[in-house]
Amino acid sequence: MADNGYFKELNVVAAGPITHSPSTDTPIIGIDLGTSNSLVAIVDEDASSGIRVPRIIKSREGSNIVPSVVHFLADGSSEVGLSARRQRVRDAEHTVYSVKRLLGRGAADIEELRKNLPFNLEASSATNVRLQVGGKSYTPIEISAMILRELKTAAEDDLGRPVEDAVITVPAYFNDSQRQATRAAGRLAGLNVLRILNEPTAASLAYGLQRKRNGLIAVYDLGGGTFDVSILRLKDGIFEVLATNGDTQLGGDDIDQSIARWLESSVRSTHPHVDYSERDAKAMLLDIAEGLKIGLSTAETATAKVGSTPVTLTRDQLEELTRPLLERTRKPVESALKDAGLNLKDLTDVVIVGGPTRLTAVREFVRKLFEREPNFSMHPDEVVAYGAAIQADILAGNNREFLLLDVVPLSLGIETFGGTMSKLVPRNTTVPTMAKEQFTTYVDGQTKVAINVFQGERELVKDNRMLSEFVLTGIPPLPAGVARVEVTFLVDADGILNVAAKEIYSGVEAAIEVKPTYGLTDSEVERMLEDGMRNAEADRKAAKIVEARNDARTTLLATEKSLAQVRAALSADESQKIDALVTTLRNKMEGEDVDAIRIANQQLNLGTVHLAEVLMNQTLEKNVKNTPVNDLLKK
Amino acid sequence: MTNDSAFSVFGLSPKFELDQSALESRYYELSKQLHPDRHSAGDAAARMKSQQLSALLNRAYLGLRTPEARLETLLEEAGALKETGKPVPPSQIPTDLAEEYFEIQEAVMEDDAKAVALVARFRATLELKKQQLTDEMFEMAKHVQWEAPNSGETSGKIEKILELRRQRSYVRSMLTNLDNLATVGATHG
Repeated sequence: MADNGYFKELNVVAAGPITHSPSTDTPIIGIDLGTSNSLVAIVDEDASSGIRVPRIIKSREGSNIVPSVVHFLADGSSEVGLSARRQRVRDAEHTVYSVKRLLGRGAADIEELRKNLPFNLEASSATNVRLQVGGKSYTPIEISAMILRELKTAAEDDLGRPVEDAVITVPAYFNDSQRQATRAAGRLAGLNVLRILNEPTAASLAYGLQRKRNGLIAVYDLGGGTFDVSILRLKDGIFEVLATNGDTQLGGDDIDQSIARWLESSVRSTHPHVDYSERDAKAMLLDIAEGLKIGLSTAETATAKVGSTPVTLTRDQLEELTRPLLERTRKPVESALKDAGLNLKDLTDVVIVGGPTRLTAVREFVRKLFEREPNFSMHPDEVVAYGAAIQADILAGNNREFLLLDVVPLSLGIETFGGTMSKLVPRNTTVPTMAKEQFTTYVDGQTKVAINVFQGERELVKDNRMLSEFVLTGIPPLPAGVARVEVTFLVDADGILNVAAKEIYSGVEAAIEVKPTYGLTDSEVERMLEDGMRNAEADRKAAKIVEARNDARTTLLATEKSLAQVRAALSADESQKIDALVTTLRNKMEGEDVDAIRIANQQLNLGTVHLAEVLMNQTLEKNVKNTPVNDLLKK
Repeated sequence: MTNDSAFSVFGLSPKFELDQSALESRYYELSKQLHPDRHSAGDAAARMKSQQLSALLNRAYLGLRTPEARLETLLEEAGALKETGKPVPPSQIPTDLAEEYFEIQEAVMEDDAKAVALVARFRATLELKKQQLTDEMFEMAKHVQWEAPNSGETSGKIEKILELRRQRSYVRSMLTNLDNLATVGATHG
């Protein structure tokens, strides 16, 4: 800890465990968990130069990117990545994509989500969205965990050792619930999530590593499903985020959607009977739309066939289709600059990030918006993963040169009288950050106080997003207004809220019960992890039975063979006893009780010690005449 | 001065004027020591402590980094912002501004052709007034002995700052009202 007189004396309230420490000596990977594509990267030492450089780890299918698509097969297994992506049209019913849009979202969002995603979505409760796929239902956290597990495996294959620790990126504008959901997905995938890192900040790390110069950077990050803008000051290795803004429901996906709608209207006259709202047709149109979009990043026109009807899309048409979407990025950019207290001309660099920024229409828009040529020298799909790997390297203690100072994207507050929002942590406050607030009781002897926490910028809590309901319990019964509960809200370096409470009058630490409004509670994740372990337990048990039966079979075979040779030399009593033991073992082998099989096996082994001796004696007598076997053994 | 003072976190005595770039350097230096990223290998307690200390450092920096924030911090730490339950109105309402506001309100409601220009001119007047009040507050704040906020002369100056602050908040709410008025006018037209 710092040698600073002030900090030594501080005594702060404990708020429970919040971050994880890396496991010793295992590599820490950086993961970009994207809406359309995911990547995994690592920083390792370049063998020839000794310089630590980030690199993308290839997927098990041999590519840098892993499409964030999960396909469920008939036997209940699933595949992730390119192979799954190919099933998007062929087996649309069992293929899930863009699930990041569902992370941390609840019943209130479902109508909006249904409009764009052709999945069977249901709100299992007010607090969770579930996807129906092939008769089963999954949470977005579970689907995300499947993608993460695939990336983890790819990294383990590449590195040749187990991977436990990871940094996972999220859109800067993700709220608390979405961050928690991402962290839960990581845990479910068997990863120790060391840090939830903001995507534009990650990109700036990679950019800063390349450029190494001080300045004011704007990162315009248009991903598959989300848009972020962050303004950073880069000074002597410190990456200080000054402001961030964005739209978590705007991305390249939406460009595909609008091309698909255009396709639908242009072929309607030739295919009047096709219902394009139907899932398979929708998936097909989306696929064609994406192909056209990619085609236009290198050519002036792109053509495709919808059924037998040829369609042509030009760059100008695409620009027209995307403009309304891109216009939605204008306000966030202006707000971020305003919050950072800067003008356009103050910026030294504009960096554009994300697959959709390959489109000329997007680049052109950004150029006009920032009144300068943006920097897109880096691979727009990979830069976030590189940044995640660099942050992982920082956390591993290998990089003491860089430090990120990030911010909380949305204001955090509590509901006060009349349903108004009392802000405790304003947006763009550097994290970690802390706020303290006192609460009291309204009734004599009251032992519980409920606190509702919201995130958002509006004046009334009903217009903001409810994060959680905290119930402070264990408050000593006192006359109304006497108890004073001091609640400490700590937003950690992941941008996630932690809460601790203390009753001042008595000094009693009040217990806190947290009910997240969206996503999963810690105990739900715990339970899912346990289920996973229980399955592993079942697998281990099955293996043990196979092993025990094999052992038993070996014993039985040897016994039968021996009996055939020396039964005549045994007493009738002994012969009978051995037969009984053999029968018992055979019976136990039919059952599932591993221990019973083992015991019966052991008893037969013991019961045949004399038999083995007799057999050995007989064998020896044949070879070594006149030498008693017991004497021979004693020597 | 309490232990929680934003100034003491940086080893400074409470003062309105300070060296901005020295403050920033010190903040970066302390961040490098305290930030959780630098303690990820520690045990749970060390990591928790790093989150908390880092949080305190960030709060303190937030309270000092701009003159505006600094003045609020100084007033807060001097105990001048204790809530009295009721908002205190400014003792001198700038009457000229109030009169002009009512005239404009009338013009907008009556769809006067000149309304748009009047609103724009009045907004400029208000912005100027706001700036003047801010400058005056800052100037005053430079001459306050913040270490001893309760001494007679000092508390008089603080009271003066608070009065300017109330006037400015009055001007601010007038600006908000003017925005609302402009919206009403727009929907009328």
